[in-house]
Amino acid sequence: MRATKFRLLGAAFALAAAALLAPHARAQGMDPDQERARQLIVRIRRSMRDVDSLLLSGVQPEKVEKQLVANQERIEELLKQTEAKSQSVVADIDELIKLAKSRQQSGGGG
Amino acid sequence: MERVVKGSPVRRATGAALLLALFFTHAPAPAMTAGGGGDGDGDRERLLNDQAQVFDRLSSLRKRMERLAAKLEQEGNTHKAELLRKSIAEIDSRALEARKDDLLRKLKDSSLQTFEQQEKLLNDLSDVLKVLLDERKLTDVDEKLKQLRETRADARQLRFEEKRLREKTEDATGDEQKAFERLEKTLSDLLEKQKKLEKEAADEAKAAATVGSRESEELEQRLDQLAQAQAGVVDALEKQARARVGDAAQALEQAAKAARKGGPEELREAARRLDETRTEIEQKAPDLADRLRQVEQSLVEAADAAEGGKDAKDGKDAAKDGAKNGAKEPAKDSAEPDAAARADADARAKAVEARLAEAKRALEDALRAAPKTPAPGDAARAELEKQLGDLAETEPALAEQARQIAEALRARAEKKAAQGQAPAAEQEAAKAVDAAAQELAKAGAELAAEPKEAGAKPGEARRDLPDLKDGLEAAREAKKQLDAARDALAKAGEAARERQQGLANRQDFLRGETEKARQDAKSATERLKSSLDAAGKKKLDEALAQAGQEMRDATQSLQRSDPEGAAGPQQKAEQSLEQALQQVKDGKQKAGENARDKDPGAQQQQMKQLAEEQQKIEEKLRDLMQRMKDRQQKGQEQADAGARSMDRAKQQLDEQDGEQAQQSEREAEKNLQELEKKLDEEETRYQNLRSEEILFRIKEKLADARKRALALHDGIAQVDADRAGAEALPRRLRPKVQQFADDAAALKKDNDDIHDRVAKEGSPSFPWVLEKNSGDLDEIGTRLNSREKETGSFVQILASDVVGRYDRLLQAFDDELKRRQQSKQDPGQGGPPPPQQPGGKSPLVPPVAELLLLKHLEEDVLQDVRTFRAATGEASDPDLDEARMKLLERLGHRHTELTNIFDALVQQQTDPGAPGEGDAKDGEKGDGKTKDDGKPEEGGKPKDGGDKR
Repeated sequence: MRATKFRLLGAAFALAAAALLAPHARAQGMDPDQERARQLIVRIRRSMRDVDSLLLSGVQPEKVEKQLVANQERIEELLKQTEAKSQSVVADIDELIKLAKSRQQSGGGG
Repeated sequence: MERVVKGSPVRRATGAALLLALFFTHAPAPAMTAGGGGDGDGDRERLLNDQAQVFDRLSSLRKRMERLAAKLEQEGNTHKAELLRKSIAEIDSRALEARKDDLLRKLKDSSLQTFEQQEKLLNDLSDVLKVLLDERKLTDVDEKLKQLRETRADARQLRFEEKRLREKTEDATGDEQKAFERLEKTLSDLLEKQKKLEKEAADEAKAAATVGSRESEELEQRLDQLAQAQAGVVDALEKQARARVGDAAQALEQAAKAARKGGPEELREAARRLDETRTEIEQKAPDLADRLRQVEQSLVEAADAAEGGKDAKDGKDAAKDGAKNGAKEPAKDSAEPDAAARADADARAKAVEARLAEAKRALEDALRAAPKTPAPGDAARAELEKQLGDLAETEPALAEQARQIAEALRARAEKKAAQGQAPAAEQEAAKAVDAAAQELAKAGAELAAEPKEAGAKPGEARRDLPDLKDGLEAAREAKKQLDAARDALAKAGEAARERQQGLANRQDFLRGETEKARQDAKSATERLKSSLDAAGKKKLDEALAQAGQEMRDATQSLQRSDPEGAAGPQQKAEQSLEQALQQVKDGKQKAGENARDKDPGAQQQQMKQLAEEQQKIEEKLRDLMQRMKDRQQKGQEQADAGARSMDRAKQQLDEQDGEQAQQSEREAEKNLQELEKKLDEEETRYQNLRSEEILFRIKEKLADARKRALALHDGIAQVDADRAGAEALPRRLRPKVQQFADDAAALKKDNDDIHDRVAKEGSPSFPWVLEKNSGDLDEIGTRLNSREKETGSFVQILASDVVGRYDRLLQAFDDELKRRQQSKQDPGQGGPPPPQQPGGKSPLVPPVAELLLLKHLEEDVLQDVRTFRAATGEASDPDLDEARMKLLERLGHRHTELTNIFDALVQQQTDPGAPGEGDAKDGEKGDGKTKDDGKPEEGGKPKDGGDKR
């Protein structure tokens, strides 16, 4: 069931990439740019979810009270990871934008 | 209203105009008043005064607008200045002020026309107000879009009607039978051509088998391999030669060339190269080096002399120029020195020539000379010596191979001659290979370090050393002969390949013709009442498709020079064509029977009706053209062409010429299709204009909101400073705080209006940002109104966040407007207009702009994480730590919302009609837990924004 859902999700991403870059070419096979866009979308989504997870998992009041020092260390580690993930999101979105713009300029669709 | 009047100059002007319009709207109707009870004369007098005042105010307002426009222009606010000037132009073009006397007179006379005049004045003022408020432009564009869509729908409807008419014409004229006749002829021709081609391909296959084309190819391959092996030997020998004499041969060649040309630059360059070579070989071949030095010297002398001669010539030219300018110089004096110079040059050339000949001899001697015994440890030299020995052994082996190939070539030539084929290529190749075999044997002998017969070389008694000079020459000659033999065979093979390629091209042409015939068959059978039933149509189509496929296979075989392999597909193609032809013949017969059953009188009547129908469609088109003209729409040319085609079709129907009428009807359909395309383009243009206008207005509103948010922030900060930490707000500051709370509420209202406008356009990220601002403004108002009248850092941070978000939005809008501007200036670079949503509506904010905003928002989170991280190290107080945890939680929720926006954006692009993913899907939103595949385990959108810092 989960595998099926992910396959569907993957297909949606592929279509989304094609739509983001060339909506008129949706029905056709993906070219290398579209494939790259699909990969970027998957990565951005994954990293964003990771950032959500990292930020929200840092908030556990009972541990804050009991293990203040240990918690601080944990949060420091968590923030480091969050920062790295968020940076990767920004870089990937940037690449996706560049890809879309170059695609528009070469007349490959909107 | 007070806020508006207190605002910017344009707002004051706008407000004044609005008041003016309202005054008219609420002014009592004069006729009613005049007709009612009370003091009629007094009322009329008052109305006259009021009416006169309105005109006076209008004149005064017009003058103020002029002054204001000039001032705004000076301040660089050109857009608003332009609005004012346009409004003034409207007032003038409608001659509003000039109506005063006429209206007052009519009012005085209690004329019934007063009502109409006032109504018109009211409407005109309302239009002026719209111009001033910048509303008219958008309304105009919307109207244009609406009209364009109507016109396009009408054009489409007319095209469908024309199509239906054509089908009826086809049905009525018995055209089906003619179509089948044409198709029958096409297929018969195709079949005949295919059979002819098959025969030619079979002949080619037979010829190839007879003359043994495979055998020929094999021989060609063997020759090629031999030539390549010999090329390797020649390369190795040249390397040996270079090891002995460097680039002396090439340097001498260049020197000879330079000596022939005689230019000083070439001579010096050749001398330089000789110098280089000489330095390189000084140790290896001292005699040769010495000769090279002599040549070099001669070249330098020749170059000097040539340069001297050039100088003298230049001097003479200058003298001639001088003479032309009046100075008389004795020209005859130069004749004698010229002859002497020529004699000198000839002598020098001869000297160079002689030295070159000596150097060449020295070069040959160096190549013939025994190489010096390698010094102990000189591995490279030892290797070269060993290689030379190997090469001497290789050449006789290659000579043997060459002899075998020559034998095979002769045998093949005899075989061909016996079969009546011309064996010229084989004979030519055999001759060349024989010569190559001799040269190979010679090379082997020259290179071998074995005793040779006395007197083998002119002028020498005996040689027992490897002769690199003669060996290399023989090896080169052998390679030349082998290349010639291979080329002779290849040329013969090429002719056969060209013939087969020609057959392949013809086969491919027939395939294309078959595909066209298939389309024609579809057109002939796709009609209201076809004589072929569904099964017949299918059979016909399948037979032609099959014929095309077989022809494709045959083409590929012929392209591979396999005419034998093409035979099978060609025969199958013929069978399929025959089947198709039979179907067509059956269809033609049935169509003929149907046509015979028709009553000629009824048919004539039918054609007359069709002509009438055509006339009606044309009239509708002409009506549409008139509407298009009134609306100043593009596409008149295409519509006019359509009307002309329809007119022709009508005449042809009147003349009972159904076949020609169908052509004209088809043209009319095509013209209407082009008209629709033109209208589509125009619609896209107006949609872009509309989007730009909306973007511009939203940007203006955002800029205004940002200004107010900043003022709110600064005001609160100032009050907080004045308050100086007092828990209770001093009485004197209370009105100010109340004013800020009111301002926050007003700003929230305007912010919500912008939000609604952007959300309506379907953007996932822009409304979210405005929602955040709305929440924060609400919170600011609540805290300012609270019992504590909060003005502290929290409220100030909220206000600062609001300003920051407006900045982000303004930046994104600016980027998008710039992109559109660039797109207009250079359509190739700025990219096409944003993709259309279902229903033909372009999104206001394209996906790239959404991504850009999302990126900025992610950067904001990243910055907050960094700030948080920097502060975490300082935390020690448990209370403070708890506050930080809350902040972290808010950050987490805020980021989850960004993730949801990204999902919604992806979802929107996948299925623009579907609701955003963030709207409802359970199991998609996360508590943050993710799997490796990037799929969240479960989810949930946070209930509130939660991003208050």
